[in-house]
Amino acid sequence: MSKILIGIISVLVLSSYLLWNENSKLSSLNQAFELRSQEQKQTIESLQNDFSLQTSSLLDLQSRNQEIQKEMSRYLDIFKRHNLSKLAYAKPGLIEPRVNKGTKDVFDSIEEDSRNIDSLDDGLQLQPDTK
Amino acid sequence: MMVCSCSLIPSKQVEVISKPIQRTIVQPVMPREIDLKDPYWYVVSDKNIEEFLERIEKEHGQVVFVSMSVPDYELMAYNMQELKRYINELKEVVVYYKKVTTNTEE
Repeated sequence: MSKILIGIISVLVLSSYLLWNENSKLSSLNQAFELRSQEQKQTIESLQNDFSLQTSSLLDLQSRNQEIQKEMSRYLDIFKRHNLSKLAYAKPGLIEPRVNKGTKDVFDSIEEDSRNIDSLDDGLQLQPDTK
Repeated sequence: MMVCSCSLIPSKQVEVISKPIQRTIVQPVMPREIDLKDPYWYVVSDKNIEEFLERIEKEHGQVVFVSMSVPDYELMAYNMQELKRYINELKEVVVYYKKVTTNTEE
């Protein structure tokens, strides 16, 4: 009778151990999968953020380029609207200061463009302000 | 029991963790601003050519100058606008790269 009891207890202990061992393995696997899932989520989130930033920045870039092109066309339109040769021939003394002022304004605007590089992007400091 | 005795001692789990790292790109110093000198344009027609010649001789000591026709002046103005456009568009590209390569978490 006691031999049967010992046998049953032994079988129970052995099967309990096997179950515990299997449970530990499954727990470890579960942890690993959870970790991997978390990593993948972080990676996807990071990629999505990068993509979103790049898309919005490219749209800003296109919009700014259109503004620049418009500004150039607006400036050159002055020559189309006025016959400078005719005006200069008729009133050279009147045109001379305007031509010099126009040149100065263009040069000043180019200098300003090179100076204020950081103001184009909100709060992004590309170059310390020297003035 | 002899066979599985070693597995009774709990073994240490080795955890391998991999996570994306943000690269830090050192931003270069931007170039010095442009410093342009203004040339002086004389506008001359047959109505004031005598006055212009006298003025040139008085201001520069001799009658020598480089002349440009009005259409060529317009071409120069166009060229300046093209350069301005190129500088501005290139600057926008710099801003773009600066923006997408700056680590926002810092």
